[in-house]
Amino acid sequence: MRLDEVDREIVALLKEDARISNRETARRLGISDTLVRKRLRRLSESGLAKITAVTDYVAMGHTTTALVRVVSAPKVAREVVEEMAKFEQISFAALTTGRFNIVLLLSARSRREVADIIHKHLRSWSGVHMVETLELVETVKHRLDVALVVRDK
Amino acid sequence: MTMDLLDDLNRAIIAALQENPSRTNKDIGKKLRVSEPTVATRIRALEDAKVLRVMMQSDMRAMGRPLLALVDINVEGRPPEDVATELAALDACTSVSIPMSNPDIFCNVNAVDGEDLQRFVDDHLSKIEGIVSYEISTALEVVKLDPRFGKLRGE
Repeated sequence: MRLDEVDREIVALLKEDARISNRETARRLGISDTLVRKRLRRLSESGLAKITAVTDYVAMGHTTTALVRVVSAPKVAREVVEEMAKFEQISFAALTTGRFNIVLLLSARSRREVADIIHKHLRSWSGVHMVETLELVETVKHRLDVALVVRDK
Repeated sequence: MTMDLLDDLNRAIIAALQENPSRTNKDIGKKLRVSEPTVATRIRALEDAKVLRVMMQSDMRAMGRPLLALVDINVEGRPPEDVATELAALDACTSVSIPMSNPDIFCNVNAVDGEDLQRFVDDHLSKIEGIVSYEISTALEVVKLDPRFGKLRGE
């Protein structure tokens, strides 16, 4: 499914604030309520967009962000990344090229919480050979408006 | 400010929205046993304070740049923060961070394909002052990308 101009305008508006009413969206874009409602339903059903309640990490106390890079045996890589992705503290999980074959991004309330996830869970797999943790002390930019809405089968 | 703003009721409202961001104020009010205007006022206050943002996120594949590169960058002769600021201004860089020790900068670059990524290296990494080396790894498969915490309040 392709996004046309109308879809793009709706998405641009809702990226700022998705709680505005359909009527307000319609008014601002000069289109009908019905069209807005239709397009929103289509966007969500096609998995092209979703709405999320994002919070400020400092205000919520999630001040520790760590990039965790893993070297694992190839045959456990998929299982490890899928299981780790279930943690709500993990916002990004991927199978990658390079020195490491798994990369995770963790956002937690403390270093202790990050360490617990790594030691009690990640390291519990026998195929996980090495774990490198990079604490990200400053976030200069982090785009919030892009996500993986639905995975391909 | 933050202390008052994150009282129990506001935390409960945030939790309700995290669970279902499309929930109406009326529904939230019913669940938490407060009035609809109370919910509306509190959500607005949280949004004004940039603690909460209920927002649409588009699927990464709709961006037209399916190749995600994770880049380690090393800097010399210039503060990494200055290099990071220059990288952050680039549309293709979707995230830029400063790790505690090495590398000096970690960033994400979204590209159309390998050729486009190399163009990024030629046009930007080669031209930004201070970058002495870089290491790229690419995501073969993104299993999860679900940002829920961000820097809403800036500095």
